[in-house]
Amino acid sequence: MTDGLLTSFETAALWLSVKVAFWAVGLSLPLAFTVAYILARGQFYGHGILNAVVHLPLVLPPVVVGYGLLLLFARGGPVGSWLQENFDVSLAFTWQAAAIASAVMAFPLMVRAIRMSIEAIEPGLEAAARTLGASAWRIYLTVILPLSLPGILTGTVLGFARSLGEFGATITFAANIPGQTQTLPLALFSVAESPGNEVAAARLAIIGVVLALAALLASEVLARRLARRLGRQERYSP
Amino acid sequence: MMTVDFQKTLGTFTLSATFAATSGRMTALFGRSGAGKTTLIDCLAGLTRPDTGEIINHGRVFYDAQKAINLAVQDRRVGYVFQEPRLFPHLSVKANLMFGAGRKQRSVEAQIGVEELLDLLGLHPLLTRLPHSLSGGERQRVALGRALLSDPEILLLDEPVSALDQARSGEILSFLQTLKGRLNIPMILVTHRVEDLLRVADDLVLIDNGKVIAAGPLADVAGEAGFQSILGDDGAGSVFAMTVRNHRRTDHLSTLGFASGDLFVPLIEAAVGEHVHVRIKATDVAIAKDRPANISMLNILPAEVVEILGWQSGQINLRLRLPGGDVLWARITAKSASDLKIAVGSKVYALIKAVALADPGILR
Repeated sequence: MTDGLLTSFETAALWLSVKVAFWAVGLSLPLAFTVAYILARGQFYGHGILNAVVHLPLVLPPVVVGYGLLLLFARGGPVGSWLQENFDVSLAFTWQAAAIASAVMAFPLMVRAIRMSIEAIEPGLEAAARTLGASAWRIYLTVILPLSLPGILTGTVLGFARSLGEFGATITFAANIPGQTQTLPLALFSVAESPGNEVAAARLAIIGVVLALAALLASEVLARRLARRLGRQERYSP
Repeated sequence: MMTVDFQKTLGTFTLSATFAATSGRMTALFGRSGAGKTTLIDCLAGLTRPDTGEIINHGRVFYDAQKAINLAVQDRRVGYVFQEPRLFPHLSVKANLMFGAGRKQRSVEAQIGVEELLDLLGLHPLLTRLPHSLSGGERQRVALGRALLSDPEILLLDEPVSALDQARSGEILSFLQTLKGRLNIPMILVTHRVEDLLRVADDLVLIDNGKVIAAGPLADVAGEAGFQSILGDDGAGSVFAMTVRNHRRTDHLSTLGFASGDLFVPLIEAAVGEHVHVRIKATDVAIAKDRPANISMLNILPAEVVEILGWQSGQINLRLRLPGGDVLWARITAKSASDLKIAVGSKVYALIKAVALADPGILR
């Protein structure tokens, strides 16, 4: 059953986890940046409500989030029936569902990290850029975006780590189907449930640790480069 | 030429600004902190919107409440140098300098080329550096270069040297002095320091509690009582526009002339014929009833008392008219005034110590 270092069961769970985390972060990053910018710079009615809604997944039990997603995306649910009618797809119990669950759970962490970075940008820079003739779009692309890179990096790593570890929302919304929705934590859960699988469970746990460490180290290297470039003392690794 | 006439209310504070700024001249907005200077300049730049009135620069309407015109900041072509440099920290000095250089018309460049500007500001060795590795003075020079390279039609300077030490602020001020002769756009300098005024300002707009209380050529406005009250206890005095007559290098003295006579001052670095502003503090002027002989004071000017103002307990301010019509302020004790029987109309002699006119009393 071994395929080099890892068994095919382990390889499947590992790649599925990476794929799900990659899509979860990739999908939510642009939206997280936009929401972070609105929360950092916007002054409008409902600011507090938006902030609370964004943070909901952080305080709700993940199973509740997963169940909510299931209600929304199930065949009879509002989003689910719309997708069924217009695109003939059903997301529940697929790897895409696992990615959506992870994206929702990772979203508040990403928004928080990016928002802190945007708030650290001196507001006077935007005024200076305007006097130099820059349009709002040019300021967004050449000033705000590059200066929030440290927060985007931190948010990405946090979101990636959160997605790799996502369990409750995923098992509720996407179920635990080997090869389809069985990410590392779900695989570990299945293996640990049956007696006599201590070695297999430990192997899965070690894979999880190695993956998380690799992500952290990569972000550390990038954060140092960024910090050197901006001449800042602080480090941006989570 | 920029004409400004607008009102802006912020809470209980109302700013009411009416003045004109001439192209090629440095117009200083002078007043205490909190007088509304930065709000005023922000309205000119478009960062703050006035309530009523109009702002017109070179025939281009920046703001007109009646016609509902409010030109966006990025379309006004203002070069704005802020109190803090506000350089983009992720961009090199060169990229910072070129940030606003994409604008089409090149009216400034026609007057000062990029290379010459970099030379004047000493920016060549800094081009590849990042802002965080620069000193405060270097950063402000880059900010000034960046504003000028954006080809502005008006230059706004909000206390550009107040965060710098004297040597560094001297560099920036002398650059501004050079710039005046080269740039045919209105230049507006916000400041609360008399030294900066004397050094670079041609015209003065006095602002007190949101109101323009006087405006005109520096030496004229400086004689106004409003200027004295803004200067406060230590600063009160007179400012004269004078011409360098000659230098007595062996005595280490220079002679400056104005309509009311000549003054000796410690040797200054200015060519004969050059114009300088001289500030004489009221506390550095003594009064005599008769022309004194055998006295160390080199500068003795005949004067007439035109106004007597109580200052604080035991002290009074005298407003004196010099022979050429210039106004000189003197502060003496109430006791001296009564001993000398000083009254409005008294003919007196104003005595000014030459050494009291040393830097920063004299600045170009």
